[in-house]
Amino acid sequence: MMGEVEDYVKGKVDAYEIFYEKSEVMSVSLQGNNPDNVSEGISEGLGVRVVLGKKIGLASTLNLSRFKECCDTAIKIAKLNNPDHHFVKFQEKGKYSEVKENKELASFGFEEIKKYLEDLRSEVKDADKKTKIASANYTRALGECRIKNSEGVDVEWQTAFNSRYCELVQGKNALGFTDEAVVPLVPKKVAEEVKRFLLMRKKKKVGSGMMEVVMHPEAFADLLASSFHFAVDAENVFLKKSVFWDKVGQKVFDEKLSIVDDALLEGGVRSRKCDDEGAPSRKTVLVEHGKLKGFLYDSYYGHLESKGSTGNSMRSVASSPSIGPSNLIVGQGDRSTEEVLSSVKKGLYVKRMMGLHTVDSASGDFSLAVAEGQLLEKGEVKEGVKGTMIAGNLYELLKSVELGKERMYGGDGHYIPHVLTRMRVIGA
Amino acid sequence: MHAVLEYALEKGVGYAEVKSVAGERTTIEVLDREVKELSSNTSQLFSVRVLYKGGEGIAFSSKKEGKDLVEKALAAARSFRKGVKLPVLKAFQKKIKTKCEVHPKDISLEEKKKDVLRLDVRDNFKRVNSCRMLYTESVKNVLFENSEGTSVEWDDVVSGIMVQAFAKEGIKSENFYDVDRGHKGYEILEGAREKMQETMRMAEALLSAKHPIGGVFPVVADQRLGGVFAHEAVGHGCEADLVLQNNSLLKNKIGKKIGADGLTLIDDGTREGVYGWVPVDDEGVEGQKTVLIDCGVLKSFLHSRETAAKMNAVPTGNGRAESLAYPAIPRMRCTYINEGDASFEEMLSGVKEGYYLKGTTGGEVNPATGEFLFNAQYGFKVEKGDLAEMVKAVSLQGSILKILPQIVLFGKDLKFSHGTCGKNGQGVPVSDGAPHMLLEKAQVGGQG
Repeated sequence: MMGEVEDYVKGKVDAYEIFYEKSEVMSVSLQGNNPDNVSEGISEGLGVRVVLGKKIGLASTLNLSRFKECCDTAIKIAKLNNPDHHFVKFQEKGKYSEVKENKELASFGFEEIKKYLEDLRSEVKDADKKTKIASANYTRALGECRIKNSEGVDVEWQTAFNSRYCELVQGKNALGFTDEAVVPLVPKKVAEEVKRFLLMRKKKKVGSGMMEVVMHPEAFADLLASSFHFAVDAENVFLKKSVFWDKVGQKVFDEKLSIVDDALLEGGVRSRKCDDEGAPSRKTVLVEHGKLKGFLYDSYYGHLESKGSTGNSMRSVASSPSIGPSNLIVGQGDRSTEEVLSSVKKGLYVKRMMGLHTVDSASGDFSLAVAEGQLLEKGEVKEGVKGTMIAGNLYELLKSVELGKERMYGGDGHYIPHVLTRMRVIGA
Repeated sequence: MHAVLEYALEKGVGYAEVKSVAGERTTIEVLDREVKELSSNTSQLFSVRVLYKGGEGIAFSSKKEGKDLVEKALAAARSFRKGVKLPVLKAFQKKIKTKCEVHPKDISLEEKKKDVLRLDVRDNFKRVNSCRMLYTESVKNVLFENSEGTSVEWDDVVSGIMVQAFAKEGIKSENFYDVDRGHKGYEILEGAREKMQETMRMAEALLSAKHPIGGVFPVVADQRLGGVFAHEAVGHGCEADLVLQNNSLLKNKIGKKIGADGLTLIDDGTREGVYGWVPVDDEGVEGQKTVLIDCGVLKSFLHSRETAAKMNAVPTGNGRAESLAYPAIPRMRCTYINEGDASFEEMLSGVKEGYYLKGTTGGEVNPATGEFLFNAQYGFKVEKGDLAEMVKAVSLQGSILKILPQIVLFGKDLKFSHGTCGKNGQGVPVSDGAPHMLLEKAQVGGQG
């Protein structure tokens, strides 16, 4: 297939790139104890980028038999596009480190999902008879990608991923949690979630003022995703929209903070041998002991800034590549999570916020409702809080932090410890 | 399509529906006077949904593999029995065509590119250092046919323009954006230049705005913020799947008074052309206007066919899906609060110390607890009935049943805006609207 497309487009343009992606999704949702939606599907597509002089054209199709039309459209678009003077060339060939591909999910089907959901139900029941599952979903996605371009890149890889969502209810209380992995999920952590849910049923009000706040790795990951990702994206740096654009080499955070992007992390949810343009995966230091060290590049900005791609290009067949982190790893502190929590005399422990898409990604300003938080009193994690908001600026508050020793999976490829910082808390 | 349906019936299914969506999408993105993306995507997706001995299965594919899809949907239905029933509906045949003043196909891509490039009017705005425009158009043919005899064909066009401006002064930087979308044609670009000018003016104005001081205050909300309020605070809690999951605070509230006398809230699928127009939903149910709250009393929930069957209700035409790759679940369409008769001045005059909040960058709700949060784009402090300094990054939070009775005044200036609503990983087009409203007490968050 790819060969045919290449043969067709080759002589007609100065440079080309063909991206193929196939994905197979299986998804089962529960409503209460009953299966609700059961679906299975497959989609296959082709994205073609061509260059004429400095003019780029992109076209895609989900109808593979019409690949010629897709190539012709890409050429037509390139012809009438304006030249892109920043474009240098497509990604060049590189050496790929082998990343262990997990095959377990390939044979994971409806029967396995059924078993999982049954186990989930009985785990919840065993943990507490009154707690019910409001809704749950299990999704398994398998993918196959291949990229071929005029710089000689020809690489293919497979992806496997599954995720679960579950929401527990009891009376007017609800608690949701998610999990994702590259290997089949097991419901074993559910008992812990139920325990936390029961503790949090009692709700208290907090006062207002500057307070010490310990962020659970999931909450910290959410905050990083809503602004730090923007700040280390080479495009935003180039356009001077990032708060970091002129800060390389400077101290930007507490010296306890180190952050790296590592697509080669063993067993990492976002680990892969190359990115979506075929650039080899690598480890990129972003922040080291509080000092800003570098940014994330795709091939466009990597070439433009003569830095080379860091392997952080992401795309679908229908879109131009954009920049995004792979596995984002925050270095550990030297005190245990328990020690960090118990150091707080009066404060908040936050696991989930509401309204994350309202964070100002450019400035890092946020003002969010606490969807799931608990009081911290004299070093103890206590009742849940209600009607509470937290507000601040991500870049200001990361200038002084304490970090826990244990690193956890915070979702979306983040591997991070608990973090203690100070921010404004507004109680009802 | 008909052959696929017949094949499914031969296999003994109780109900089957077959859908196909074929479309072409064009994207023009301009960043700082350079074309950042010019692309064309054609897509096609086919899906089959079957009910078989109480089990339900959906299969979809980008390949036209009719019989295979029936087999896959059947396999899914056999794996999970759930006792599903769907209400029997009267069959109908319908052909719908989205009205366009100018069909996007009649304008060349070259011309479109030039028109989008022309929207960058930053010369009059010295502190604007970057701006972005995103034009999208999608021309689709949607086919639906089910075993009850209903068949629908919709020739649809959806157009959209997003404008965003970044302003910078010293170390301060701010951005502002505006969006227009709808089931309409190229006429979407009319007035886009003015929209861009206003967006640039706002980005510059925000440079001198202050962070508000958080606390509990009276708040006047503009139409956009009021619309998000209608959607987040009430609409989600009325979605019948959440009610069935014991996941909505409004569960046992039908017939009960939950808001002020002046509060009437509607979810309407029949507003032709607006984003969130649903003449026929994704399960083949005809669009309608559903009154959710009438003079403060909760009247109805929003149903898919399945939730209607479970709750012994009539489907309301709210079964919607992001694409054929997703199941249809209860979703809002155009959700709005009806007008009252208060003037804006009347609302302000009652506020000794509070805020007038405008626009929105979005919101979220937990329907089970009723807690919500939404952000205004900006606003003004109100001191003794007068507008004072400008504020930014303001959020409102509260819980549904407490805040509804707090809305005491409704203006006579209903306006609509549009957005994408996310639920269970699916985004669907929606609109929302409200008049200006006065909330006696609301919790405002800010860093000041």
